Amino acid sequence: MSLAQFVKNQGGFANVSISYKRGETLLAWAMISPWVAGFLLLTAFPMVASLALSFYKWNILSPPEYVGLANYHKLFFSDPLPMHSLKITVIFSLASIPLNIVFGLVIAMLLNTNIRGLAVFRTIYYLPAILSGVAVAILWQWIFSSDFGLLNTALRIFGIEGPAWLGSKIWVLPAFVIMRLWSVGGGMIIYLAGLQAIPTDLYEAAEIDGANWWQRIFSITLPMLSPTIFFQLITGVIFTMQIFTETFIMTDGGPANASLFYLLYLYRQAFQNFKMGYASALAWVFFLAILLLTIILFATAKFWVYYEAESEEDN
Amino acid sequence: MSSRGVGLSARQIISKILVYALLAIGSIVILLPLQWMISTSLKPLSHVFRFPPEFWPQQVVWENYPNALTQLPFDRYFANTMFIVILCLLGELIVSSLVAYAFSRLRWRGRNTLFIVVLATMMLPRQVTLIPEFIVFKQLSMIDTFWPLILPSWFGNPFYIFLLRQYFLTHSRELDQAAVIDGCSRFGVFWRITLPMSKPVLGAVAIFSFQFHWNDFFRPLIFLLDQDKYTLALGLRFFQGTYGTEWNSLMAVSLVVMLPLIIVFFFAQKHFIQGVVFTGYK
Amino acid sequence: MSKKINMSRRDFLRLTGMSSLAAGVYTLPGIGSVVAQDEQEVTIFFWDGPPLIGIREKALAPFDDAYPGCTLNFTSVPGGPNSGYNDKLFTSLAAGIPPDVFIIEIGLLPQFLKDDLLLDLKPYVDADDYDLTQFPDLAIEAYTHEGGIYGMPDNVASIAIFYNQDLFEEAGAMLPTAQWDDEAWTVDDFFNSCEALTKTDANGNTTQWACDVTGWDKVWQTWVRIFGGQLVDDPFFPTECTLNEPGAVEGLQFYADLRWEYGFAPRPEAMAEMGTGALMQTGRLGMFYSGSWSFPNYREADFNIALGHYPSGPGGRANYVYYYPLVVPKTTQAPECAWNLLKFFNGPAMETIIREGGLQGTSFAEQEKWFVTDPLPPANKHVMLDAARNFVAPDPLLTNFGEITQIMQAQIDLLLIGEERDAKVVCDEIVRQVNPLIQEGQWRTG
Repeated sequence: MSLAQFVKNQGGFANVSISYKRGETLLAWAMISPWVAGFLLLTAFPMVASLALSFYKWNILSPPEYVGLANYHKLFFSDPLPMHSLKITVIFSLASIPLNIVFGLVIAMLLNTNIRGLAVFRTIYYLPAILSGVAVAILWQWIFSSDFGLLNTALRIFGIEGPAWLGSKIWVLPAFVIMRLWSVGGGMIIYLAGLQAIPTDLYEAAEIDGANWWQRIFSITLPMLSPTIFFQLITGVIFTMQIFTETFIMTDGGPANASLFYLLYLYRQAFQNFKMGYASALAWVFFLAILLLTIILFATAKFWVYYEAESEEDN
Repeated sequence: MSSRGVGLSARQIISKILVYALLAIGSIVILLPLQWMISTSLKPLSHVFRFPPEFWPQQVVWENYPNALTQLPFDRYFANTMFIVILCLLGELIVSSLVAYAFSRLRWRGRNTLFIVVLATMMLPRQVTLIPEFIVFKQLSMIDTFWPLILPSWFGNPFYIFLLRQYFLTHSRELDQAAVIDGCSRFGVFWRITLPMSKPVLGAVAIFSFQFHWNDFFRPLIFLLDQDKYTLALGLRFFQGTYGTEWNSLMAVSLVVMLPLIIVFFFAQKHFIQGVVFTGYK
Repeated sequence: MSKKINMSRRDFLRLTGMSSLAAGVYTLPGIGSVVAQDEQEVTIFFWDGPPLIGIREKALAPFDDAYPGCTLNFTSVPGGPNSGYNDKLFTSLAAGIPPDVFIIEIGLLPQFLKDDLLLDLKPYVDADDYDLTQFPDLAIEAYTHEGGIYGMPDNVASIAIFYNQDLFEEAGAMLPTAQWDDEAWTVDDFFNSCEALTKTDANGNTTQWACDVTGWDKVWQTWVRIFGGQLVDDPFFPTECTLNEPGAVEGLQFYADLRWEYGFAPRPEAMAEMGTGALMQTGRLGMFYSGSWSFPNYREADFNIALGHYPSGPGGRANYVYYYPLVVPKTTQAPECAWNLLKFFNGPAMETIIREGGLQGTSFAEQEKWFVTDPLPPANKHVMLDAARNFVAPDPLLTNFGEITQIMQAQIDLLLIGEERDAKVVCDEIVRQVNPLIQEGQWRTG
């Protein structure tokens, strides 16, 4: 069974049993033509080139040298760090993605009410997402500082002696999870947009039927929002697994490789250790893993994602 | 909404208070670190790490702002950034919605497989595609121009294509069919029905796109050489020096660079996303 | 319904229209500037931020007039070596359009030499009878390969002990020496001072710490040397890692025990400048390791701050000095101008860089003149010069020393965060992992 058939058969997409219309197909290709052009012009060659380079030894400075499967062999059998870094990246993602989805949703629902100061609250919650890069990294370094940081100073008020956070093998991952959670407001506008798409007459009808607040959340809001939640899940997987900047600036993978996320390890090989070929192999293994995970998640979609536009044919 | 009563019941009041309380607690958690940034930006360098932290600096140095901002040609960086950001935003709005429409509301063979390909382009770490991509742009004689920064946006961004696709899929198909019966073309449906109905999500795309390109550090770093073409994000990154960091200047510049984004968001969010009334009462 | 739709579409058009207008008034800058036929353009990559970026640019501005026929094209890449500089440099190298002069981390130099990518500056040095003795010997030695010289120093940056003189005097502790060949200020003196400086409150919580136990590689490596240890058997021609020999193990054990056995040092931090640097600035730490780049942080300190040397131990006194080179790729179209630029940089420009940029600079004469006589705190700035003059421990010249450092660092972390208390265990593991890599990283024979 081909990949495409697998995806199709597993649902996740619309049920495509109907016949295709020629005009519609032509229009579709016309509409996606910019993407196709961009893919062929700018994306395809770099992707293929990196795949090819994964079979070479290449230090960037001199011509590459063909080594067959040596990079992949090293990755799976002799170098313990790729699997270590993949493991901590997965652990981090398993904690971070669900927390961000749930908190993002709750905040969006609170900020989708008619209250005074809505614009101000929304802006405040969005602030951390606006602020990026170095300033945030330095800000959090100060917050997590073990002996004079904001967090441990606050904990001391409650009589708790906080851990060394970024200086601790155990606490460095929770610290990054907390840091990501702080900027959860970034996803808020996506949820808000999703909430806007829910027709208000659904709620009115439910109210007339006597449904209470919780019932409305579970029978209307969540199902109607499921395409948005699905989006957050998929992009959450793709981008959370690629966590890089925080650890690059703040801990450089430490202490004792406890925050050596996969992409940081890959980066080191590519731009610090003159091993671009090995980095390419690391990248393609990662790519295939994420792709597989995405396809599986798409396959689960038919059980829990509700698309209004696709519901008619299913009935 | 007719079902809404005139007065508020005790339950409604409690739920309102609860919403406010939750929002206020969250706001404090978010604002406290930011307050440190503000207060740091106004301190002399030697007072940055006073302990316990000063909520407001004992000695306020307003000059930190002009001092930090005149160290680099930030006006030039601002103009460059605006130019790049606006062109990227336009491209991403227009092209991504076109592509997303084809992937959600039209039916054609290979649609779902190709969509996975679209998503897949986000999954390969950029570290390994950077050099080949740089070589492509070199072949196109576009190094040290804004083209490598702008052009990709006009070929559709997978993140926004996916977001818009999800949103378009929530619209009922009946509307399209009614419009087609009224003599509207399929493209007309996209332009006259789907897009106007998608104002909130287009707003989200616009905000995201603006913010992303505003803050993007990596691509300008790689593709620009001439310092006159640098962007705000590059200017900001300068302050993380090789030999030590001027914390107060860094914070001052970060806050100033962030300000236009805050203003854009404050006004844009209201325009695109109205508050609705279904939660938090009864 | 239809009215609403029309309104919305107008909004959409208005948004796009307004944006196009805004974009239209601003035009794309052209590619590069037009340079006259007989002019050679020489591009240089630095990695400074403000205020240094402006100072370097200003210092190099007279270059075009000093060397007619050469035009300088100055590019400063934001973020430094750990945040984007390498990405940009390697990308331009791979695409075949590197700058004519660029700075690199010392650890990258052997790979560049092995692949024969750099221009040999020796003919230019000889032709101009250029004085190399103005620079630290070991720096030039590290840039030398098979008789050729492949770099000129960008900046010499020593590490020294910064100490809070008030805390020392209050505790009656012996001060770190400012004289390199001082008989006193031994490891024992250091230990006694630490004991005197550390203070705890009634509950046993530390309120004042004596010293820092940072994960900074150059600091723990210096402690290894103080106790007579070495990273490798011979830094110029390394064949094996010697970190598990008694001196090295003893040094690391002493260093880690300062924190975990005796409680002289605060808990580990990811970034020294944010954590312990802050303790230092607020007068709660006696000693701290840093370089001249930290001077501005102490200009207005409300305590007396001074510089001292590391203590001496069984291996004598030790230190570390950064000596990143400026190099010229072989492929440059403007080798003469590149050499002129290097000379100008280490000549007329250096005064401005030291005096205004606060850098230690490259030449000893200029350091004596500007850096040491500066009356601002900290005191004893000549310590930095002594450290550079007595600098004896270059990084092992291996093509993969960066990778080896990553491996050592992960193990040393275990020791410094208290996961492993026995330095021998950590050192044995380092030797086990690093030795095969040393074989891999050898690129020339003695």
